[in-house]
Amino acid sequence: MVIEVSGLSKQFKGINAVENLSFGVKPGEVYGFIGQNGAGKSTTIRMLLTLIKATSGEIKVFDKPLEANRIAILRRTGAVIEKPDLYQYLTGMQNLNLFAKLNGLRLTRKELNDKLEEVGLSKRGNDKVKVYSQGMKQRLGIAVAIVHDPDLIILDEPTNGLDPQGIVDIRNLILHLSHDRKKTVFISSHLLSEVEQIADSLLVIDKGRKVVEGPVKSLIDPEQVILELETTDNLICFQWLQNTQWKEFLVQHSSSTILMKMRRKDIPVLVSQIIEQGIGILMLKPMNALEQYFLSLTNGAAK
Amino acid sequence: MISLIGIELFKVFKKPRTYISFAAIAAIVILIQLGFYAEGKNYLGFGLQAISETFMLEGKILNGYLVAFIILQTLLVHVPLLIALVAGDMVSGEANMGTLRLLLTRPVSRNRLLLSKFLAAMVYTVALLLWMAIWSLFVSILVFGTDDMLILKSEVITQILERDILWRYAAAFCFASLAMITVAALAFLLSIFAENSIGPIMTTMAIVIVFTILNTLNLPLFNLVKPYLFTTHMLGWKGFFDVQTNAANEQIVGSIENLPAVMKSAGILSVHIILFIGLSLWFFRRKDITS
Repeated sequence: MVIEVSGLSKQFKGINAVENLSFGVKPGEVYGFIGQNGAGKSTTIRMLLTLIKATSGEIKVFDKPLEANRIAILRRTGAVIEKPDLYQYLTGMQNLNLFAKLNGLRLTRKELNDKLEEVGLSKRGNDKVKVYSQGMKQRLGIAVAIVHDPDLIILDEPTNGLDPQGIVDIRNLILHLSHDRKKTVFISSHLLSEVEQIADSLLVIDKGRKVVEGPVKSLIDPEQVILELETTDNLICFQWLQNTQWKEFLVQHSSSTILMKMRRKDIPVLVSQIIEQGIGILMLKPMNALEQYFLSLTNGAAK
Repeated sequence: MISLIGIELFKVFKKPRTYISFAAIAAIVILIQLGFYAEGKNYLGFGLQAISETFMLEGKILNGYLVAFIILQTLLVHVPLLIALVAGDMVSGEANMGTLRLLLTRPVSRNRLLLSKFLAAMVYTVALLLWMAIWSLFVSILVFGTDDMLILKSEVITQILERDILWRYAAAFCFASLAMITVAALAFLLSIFAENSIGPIMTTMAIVIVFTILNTLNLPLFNLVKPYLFTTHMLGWKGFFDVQTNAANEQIVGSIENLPAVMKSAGILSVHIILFIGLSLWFFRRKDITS
């Protein structure tokens, strides 16, 4: 495992930001870390980077305990945390050079330019960062993160605040790092749609707790759907469902909707049985996009 | 470590705000020099009125050494603000910009990073005092020339021979550097806890002002703590301009009237620096970086 986390918890003034979190990231995979804002993603990432001390639990990176091997592990790790905040009064190249030096690298101007070329910034390397667009800052942040050719790249919300083209650029850059340069990429986002296209595995967290973890393929099985159902009387419908074989497929219910996780081919049978009970169906919405799946999971965990 | 200090110095001297202090010092010194150039003789004549009735004063009384002494007396009280401007920003400024977290994800220990930042702040402090020395001493010498220096105190006049002055200035600037590094260390410590630089800068100045006021109040309660306040010892550089005299009341060249007091002040300032930096390291190592 590149990252192995077990029983990780962090409390801030008695409030659990992360609670008993365990997961593993395999070498070479793009690992999506998904959760809504405030779910505990950034806190977890900061603990992975030793910016925050865990209240309890264990983190191993490259099979070594993080705390005891901090320097050696950070030498093989690159990261962008939240906004790519860099020195605004320095040029892109000066920023890159400064962080390369912090990693013990002495790069020539040409080498620095090549690194900037990789993120499409070679022509703007001599401009001060304060005149960069958000997308350029994000790309420079990634250049800074990978300047020392790390084995593990941690990106916290790398597409935040970017326009659609910027999002595509970052996505392509991550795919390039993963496929062409064989890096392990740990990427967090609150937008599942951003991650589902590039991640091999996913971890969904909510309120600091793990909701689900697994390979993307198994999580977005096209035959498995989340069915959103609205009927003429949701309460009666829900009570009836609870007394039938459909009970095990119930995920959540409220006065407005019922959510069920089931196989797509079973939907017609369910619909006919509900109608036989004299309950009218107002809305039926099978969802298989991972974004909706993620929302239903996190909301379900919250209830 | 040298590479880290180089990086920190590069950042400090690339920031426009760093040069505010250098520009301010040059501007103030030039203004004082202009004032003395235009009105210096009248000013000194008024100050020496009582003495000139009793003594015959010969030579160039208004010379570069005297002007430099007056400038230092006026300016060194205000320099802590200029020092705090940069030292108070060293960590808090990075936290504010969000670069602190990026720095700490690099394979550098927190202790080394913090020490390199403090050493960079120290270099800035010494550079600022060197700049001040160039303007206040060397430019004054160029403009006003040299001669023996007369220092007027409330009850005595000290005359320091011309050939015995330069080393005293060198020592005074070294001592002033130590005093200002103490202020830098305090601002640096405070910057660990803040996420913008205004807080540490203002708090440093508030502490310096409060302690200075305590020094001026002659109350038994305050007298107990005064010897331990760093502000009590910050003007210790003046001790290098107090000379010993022989039985014939002639100046003993190379002498300092109360060297143990100067050394004690230097010692107390050094202890403060060690304490402030020790606390900075202790807190910074345990700090959660949430900015």
